[in-house]
Amino acid sequence: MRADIVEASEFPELARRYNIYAVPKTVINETGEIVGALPEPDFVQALVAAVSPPAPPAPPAAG
Amino acid sequence: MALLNDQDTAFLRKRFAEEVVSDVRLVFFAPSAGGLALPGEEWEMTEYTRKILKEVEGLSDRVVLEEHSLATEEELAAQYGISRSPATAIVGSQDYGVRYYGMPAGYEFVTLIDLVIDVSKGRAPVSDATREALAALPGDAHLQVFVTPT
Repeated sequence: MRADIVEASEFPELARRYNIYAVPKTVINETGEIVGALPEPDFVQALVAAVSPPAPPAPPAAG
Repeated sequence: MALLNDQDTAFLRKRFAEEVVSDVRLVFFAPSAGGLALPGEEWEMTEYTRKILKEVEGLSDRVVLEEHSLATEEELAAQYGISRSPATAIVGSQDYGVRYYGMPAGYEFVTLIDLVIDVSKGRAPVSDATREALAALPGDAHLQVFVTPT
């Protein structure tokens, strides 16, 4: 695990790339995001969801 | 002129004496070698960052500042996974992957102080449940936390 703290105004190209309009915002592995400061258990839950592979698509309905 | 006033310095010295339990290196990468950059906004932010780090180093014998240049020491920067500057790797007995990009000013100065303490302990102040959940993560995680100084 790596954790970068990025001062948004000093790195405008990163702020643009990740659509930072409010802080704090945490970007996880480029695509996941957590906006705002969450309570620890909620943050961990969001982090686990962002790192976990997406669930396989639901099978097509029968019929 | 010092950035920290006497009262803050005394408070932080005491806090570090009590809580910084092992050596911590602040590995700082400036955009270019000292003196070569033309003064400008970026130069000012870099100099301010360097000054803050220098004062943090002065708060404890266990904290050491290493100054590098991203322009001339690209290979070393790459070892720390750093390709942007100003950047500071906060490294304890291990490199826990903690990086600070930009100037740790305002409220974020407290973040820097807390990071030095946590890295010295080699342990983040999180609950056992969090520790278990993170140990069980199915893959690697790269967190980029965007902040502003206010």
